[in-house]
Amino acid sequence: MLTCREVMRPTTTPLYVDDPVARAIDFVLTRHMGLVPVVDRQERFVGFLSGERLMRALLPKHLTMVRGLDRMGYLRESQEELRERLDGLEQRPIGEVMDPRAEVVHPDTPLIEAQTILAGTQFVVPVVDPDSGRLLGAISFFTILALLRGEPSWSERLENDGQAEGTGA
Amino acid sequence: MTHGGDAQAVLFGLDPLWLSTAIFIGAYVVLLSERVHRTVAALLGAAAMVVTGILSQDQAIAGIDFNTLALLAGMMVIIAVTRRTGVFEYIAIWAAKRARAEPIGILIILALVTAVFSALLDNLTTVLLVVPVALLISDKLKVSPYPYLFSQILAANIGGTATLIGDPPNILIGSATGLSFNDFLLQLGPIALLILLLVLALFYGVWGASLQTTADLKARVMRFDERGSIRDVRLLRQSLAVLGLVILGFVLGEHVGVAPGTTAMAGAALLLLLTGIGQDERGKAEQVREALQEVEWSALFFFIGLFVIVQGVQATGLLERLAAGLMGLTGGDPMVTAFTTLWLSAAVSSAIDNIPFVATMIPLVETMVPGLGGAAAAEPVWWSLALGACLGGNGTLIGAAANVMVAGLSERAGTPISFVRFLLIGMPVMIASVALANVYIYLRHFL
Repeated sequence: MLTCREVMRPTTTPLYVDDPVARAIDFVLTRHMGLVPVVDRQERFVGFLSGERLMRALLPKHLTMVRGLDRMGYLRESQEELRERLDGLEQRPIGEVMDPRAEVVHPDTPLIEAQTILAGTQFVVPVVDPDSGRLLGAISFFTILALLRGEPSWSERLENDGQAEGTGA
Repeated sequence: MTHGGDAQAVLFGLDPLWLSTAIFIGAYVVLLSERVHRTVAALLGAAAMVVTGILSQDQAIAGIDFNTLALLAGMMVIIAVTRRTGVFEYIAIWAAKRARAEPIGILIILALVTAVFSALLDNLTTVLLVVPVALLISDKLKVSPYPYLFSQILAANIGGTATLIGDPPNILIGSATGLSFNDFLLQLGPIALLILLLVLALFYGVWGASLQTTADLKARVMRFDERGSIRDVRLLRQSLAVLGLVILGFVLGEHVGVAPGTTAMAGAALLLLLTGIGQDERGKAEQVREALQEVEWSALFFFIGLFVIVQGVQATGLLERLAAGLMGLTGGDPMVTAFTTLWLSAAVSSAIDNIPFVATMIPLVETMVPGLGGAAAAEPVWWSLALGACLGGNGTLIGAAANVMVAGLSERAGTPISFVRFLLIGMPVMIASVALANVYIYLRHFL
């Protein structure tokens, strides 16, 4: 039986839940990454910070707090207004902006469970230690397809080219 | 449990009066404790009334006011479809720009918008749509959001007082008594308008000077383009046309014997028919499904449970005894009874949900009608009940559903309203407005 341990790509992340969002923005801009795992100070996985979450947090909060009000075609904002909102966002902890609802798997979980999650709503499935909750690795459709084709994954290729480090699957 | 006929075979031969009183009090205690969802509490109470044999199944069903349910459900569908058009945001932004982005001007004009919407639609939907826009504007102007939040709550409750469809207590009273949309508008509209204007004058006096901003920040609000909020022009035309017809139906309905519930349901059906034009079968089905998803089924089932509980205590004579007690207290004098009802309902409604209170008071007042000298003599009591229940909601942050909704929205926006802070504004406004309503009832009915 193929387990997640055999497929996952070992992953670390520099983003902590209590870091300011500014640090996350620096990181994603430098690495061109759209999805980054977030851990607490005990290195336990706590959620994902994605480009979508950052963009949503950059919208006027009063219009995103109620479902159905998030069409804002009447707003005519200047760059200065957006910049002001970004300044406010950068001070907030990552924990307030990230998505804490990600489903996780354990190393010995059958791969089919990770596949099922990937076929649903998540792009990446974190693999965590069942006892400590520490982030061990991640599985994406790249890692699965690369394994089946016997090829290095997309991120591994980038890493081999010296363009990627640290995170991603 | 019996299927039809009179109440009988009460469980273990217990006294039906005591048993129904125990169920009634038990259900209300659970409701007030909020440990169980209010719909579940009401349905359990209703089930207990039938299972213990206090009511037969037919009696329980006869106690359900289907006109109220139809009015609520029909308006929920119409509002759910209409809000998708973006027209509420359009009007709120259009109105704010008419005030030239002056903070106090926006506060007053948005309060007026909320009051009018609350009178013609329902105040929960109104605050749900207008409060986020008000918060956005206060954020853009860099002024305190609290005056806007407080004015929205007060305006929603005062506006809802003005018409039969504005607030659930009025829907219940109108349906039980046969008092029409026009009766409510003519009786309660003037006093609601007067109270609203006085409250806005108070807000102007209290916050007019302190709500200041810069020309640059005002320009940000003036750049809003309200036309951008309209998402579907065809749907907008259809919704406004049906909404206009429904309101016309409310006004004319009493002359042709059509109850408001029928009008609202017919309007909802017409709107669903219109929105389906030009769509394939799947699209039509999807439209209907989406609209019905927006119906607050839990609220409708809450009402069903409540109606059956009240029917139970009515059938066993509890309400008759309470009415006799109240009549003894007021000496059967219509004026004293009206004023007592006004202040009692305001006090109770400021502390607890006014819907179960009014649902209980209706059969109680009905029982008192002969003793008060007939339907005409009792009419001021009905208006007092409506005014007290609706205006009482302004007393505390938990006094009305709209208050709780605004409190939730403001908390999510990072500007939570404290109970005491609202109390310091809401309670004096509530007491002053009920006093004004008392004078109004006196001048209009007893002078």
